[in-house]
Amino acid sequence: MTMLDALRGWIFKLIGASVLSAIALSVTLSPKMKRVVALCCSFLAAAVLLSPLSGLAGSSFSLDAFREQGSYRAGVLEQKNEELNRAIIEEQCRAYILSKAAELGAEAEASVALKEDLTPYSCRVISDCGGAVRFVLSETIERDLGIPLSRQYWG
Amino acid sequence: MKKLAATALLVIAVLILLSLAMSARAVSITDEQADAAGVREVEAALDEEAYDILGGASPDEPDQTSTFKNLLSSVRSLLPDILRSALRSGAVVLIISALSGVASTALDTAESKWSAPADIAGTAAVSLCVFGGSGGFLGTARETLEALDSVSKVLLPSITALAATTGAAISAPAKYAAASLFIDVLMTLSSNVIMPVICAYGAAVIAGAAFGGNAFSGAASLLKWISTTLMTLTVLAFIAYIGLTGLITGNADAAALRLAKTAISTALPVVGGIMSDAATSVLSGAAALRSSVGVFGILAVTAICAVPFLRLGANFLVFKAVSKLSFGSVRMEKLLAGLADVFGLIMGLTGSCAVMLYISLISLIKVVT
Repeated sequence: MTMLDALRGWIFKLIGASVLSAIALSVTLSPKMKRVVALCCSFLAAAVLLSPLSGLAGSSFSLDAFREQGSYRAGVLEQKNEELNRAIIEEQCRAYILSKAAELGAEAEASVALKEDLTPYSCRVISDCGGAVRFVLSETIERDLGIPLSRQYWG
Repeated sequence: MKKLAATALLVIAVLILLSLAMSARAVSITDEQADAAGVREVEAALDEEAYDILGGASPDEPDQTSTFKNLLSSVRSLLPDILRSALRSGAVVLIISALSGVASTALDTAESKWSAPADIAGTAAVSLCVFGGSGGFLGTARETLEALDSVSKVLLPSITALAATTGAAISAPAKYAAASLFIDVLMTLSSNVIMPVICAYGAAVIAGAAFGGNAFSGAASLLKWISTTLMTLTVLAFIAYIGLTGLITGNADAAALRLAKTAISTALPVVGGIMSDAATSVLSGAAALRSSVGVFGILAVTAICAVPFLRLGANFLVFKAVSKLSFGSVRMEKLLAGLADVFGLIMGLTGSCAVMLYISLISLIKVVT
């Protein structure tokens, strides 16, 4: 039932109650009875007036449900932020290795894998640099990025 | 020497490429965050009229100044038509009031029994003029409330997510829950109680003007008091609840943030610096998005309410003015003042929902990190 239908029904009920009250009062002759009838009619009018409130009784308002809804979207965004964080850190670690290789005069390609806490875990470096350059670069990676030699893969 | 120059050039080139990559990355960070936070759905939830008023703006644009300017210019362009329409209604009602007054006075003799019917006819004509066309202002109010409700269902979760990830992990979901609960309560109250009570008030005012006497004025006062009190209590309870929520959960937010910062600083210096930069980039993107979406939300709520508010406000003022020009007829003066109050109550109802949304958005935008 749309709101306007409900509204229309309520207005008709009010009009009906008013008409009924007017008829009841007009057919009552005794003043004493008139007072009683008037009181009953006012109760009837009040009941009809407040009848829309009964619609509220079936409604359920749950704060916890709304809190869960709010947390859900925040959880999705939090996950996305973690992915973005991870991607940026991988990219920056890779760029750091490349810049260090460039300082040593070597060309290289690199990729870095991260642990769950987003610290570097391992790296793969592809370079045609000599042994001495590789040694220095490898030590730099271990010192600055915390990746031990055992987890550096050279190609 | 040549080798040193070549190396220096190479390093400079790498740094330039890195900075370009970071700025491009900054743009894609915000885009990806906007998708995850459901920001695109906010734009889709707007109705066509509100969308046109905002000039087709997007919630993730960093600078919403142009959106605000579009809103102002749209409202300015719509204002003359709205005023003209209200003045036209006022003029028609004034003419009816004058004719009714003249007829009532002319027929008010000892032999004539047509004075009261003349009053009733005048009242009926005025009522038809106000409520007769297009489902009336009640239909407009209902549509506005539904539009506000549907926008709030996508806007609030989006901005809650952005606020939660930028320093309000505890308070943002709590504020969202409060805002959604109270808006839900207001929607239910408005459709089940407040709208019917406003209609009953209008009916009581009309009946009082038609039949005279004081029987209906008491009922009208009570109905007006009920609707005003319900709206006021709902809004006040909401403001108190959201204020308390902010106070109670504010410390929890600060503690959670301190913990996150400590965790980053214990890593290796170079790695720590990289992680800190990454976190700052992500946080800045989310914070910028939170501000732009929040401002867009406030402007969107304004755009939804602008036309109905202006229409109701213009009619309210015109009818109040016309009620003072009712040619000495007390009944007509009371009728017109009462009908102006009906417009005022409907404005109050839509205004209550808009105010609750404004307060929710402002409290979620204003996160202190």
